[in-house]
Amino acid sequence: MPSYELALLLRVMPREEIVSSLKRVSSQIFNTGGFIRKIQNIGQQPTPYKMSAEYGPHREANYFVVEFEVAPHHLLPLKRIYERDVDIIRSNIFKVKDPAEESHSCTLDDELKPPAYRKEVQDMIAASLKVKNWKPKSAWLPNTGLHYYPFQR
Amino acid sequence: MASLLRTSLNPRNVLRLGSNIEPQFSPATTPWTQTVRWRRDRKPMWLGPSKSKRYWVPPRPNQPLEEKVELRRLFTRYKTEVSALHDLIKENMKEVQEKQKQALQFQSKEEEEAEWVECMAINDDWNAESAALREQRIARELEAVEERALQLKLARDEEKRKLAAELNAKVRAEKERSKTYITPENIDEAIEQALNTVVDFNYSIDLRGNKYIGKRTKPESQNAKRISDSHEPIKREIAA
Repeated sequence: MPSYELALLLRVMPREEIVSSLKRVSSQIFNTGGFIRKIQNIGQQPTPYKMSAEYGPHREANYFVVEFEVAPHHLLPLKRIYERDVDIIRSNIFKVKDPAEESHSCTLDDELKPPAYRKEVQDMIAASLKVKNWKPKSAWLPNTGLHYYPFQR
Repeated sequence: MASLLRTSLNPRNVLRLGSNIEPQFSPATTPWTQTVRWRRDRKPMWLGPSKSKRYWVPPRPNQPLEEKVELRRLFTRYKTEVSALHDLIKENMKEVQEKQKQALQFQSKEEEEAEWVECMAINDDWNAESAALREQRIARELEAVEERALQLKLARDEEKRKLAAELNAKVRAEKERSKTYITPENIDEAIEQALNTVVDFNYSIDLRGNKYIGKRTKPESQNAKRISDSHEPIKREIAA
């Protein structure tokens, strides 16, 4: 169970340079006294949008996920170091949640129901009706038939 | 007297002390009032008598000698009668007080002592009775407290044991996993292996609950799994 996950977008470059960049990234983790559990390569893929970084706008990037462990007070310095790295287009560090602790109560059958039968849709409709039907409280009992308070205050 | 009362009741003639609000004659709102002669709806005193009255001499009171003697006689008699009444009331009060004192001393000293002893005996009985009840109650409560403490101790021991087992399991699993840690010694192989293997976390599901791992996996392929199966990303070896 890793503690942290580093999502890494390296710029498009030759294989030797990717190796040296990854070595640099991992050596920063080792320098803090941490270790790496896993390095996963998602491959060279188009970015969702044109990203500005060092060496011009990037439309493609090498995607990596690094699962690692460090003491929490090293996270911010690590983040700052990766921000300054010229080969890294984007990077972010996430806290990994234990899937055993998270409870998912929804099922596929619930999700496939028509919208009117889904509980979240029903809750949404009830909330909007509550807002729509809101009326200010009247200042006096309405059964007097008068539009003003009949007694002197 | 009537004029004095009127003057006193007139708020403008009353010097009110202890409050700065508008003068109003009311016992509740007036802490202390003093009637003063200079504060009234007349000319102020320091203007002196008017010019027309400057040489006016008020007439001397003219009381005949007979009237004076008669008034003195009446006043002396009145004073004598009032002092006599005063003495009489004093005498009567003395008698009444004596009677009250005697009425209070209805017991002799011995009787009083005897009653005291009797009351003390009854009181001792009551005390003994409530002491017995109190001891029973305290014993009961102590027993309950001991029982609760024992239960708490057992629960805590159980909790500690569970936590220790959990932590031991975690430590054992982590020790097992530590063989696969990536450290500066094996970072080169790990990077090489990562670059040679591309992983794909995408998957899709169909209405029967089958899960197709991989972004472009066809339903006929080998990668279809039931949705309850664990999600492992598809791995594709690429030539180095």
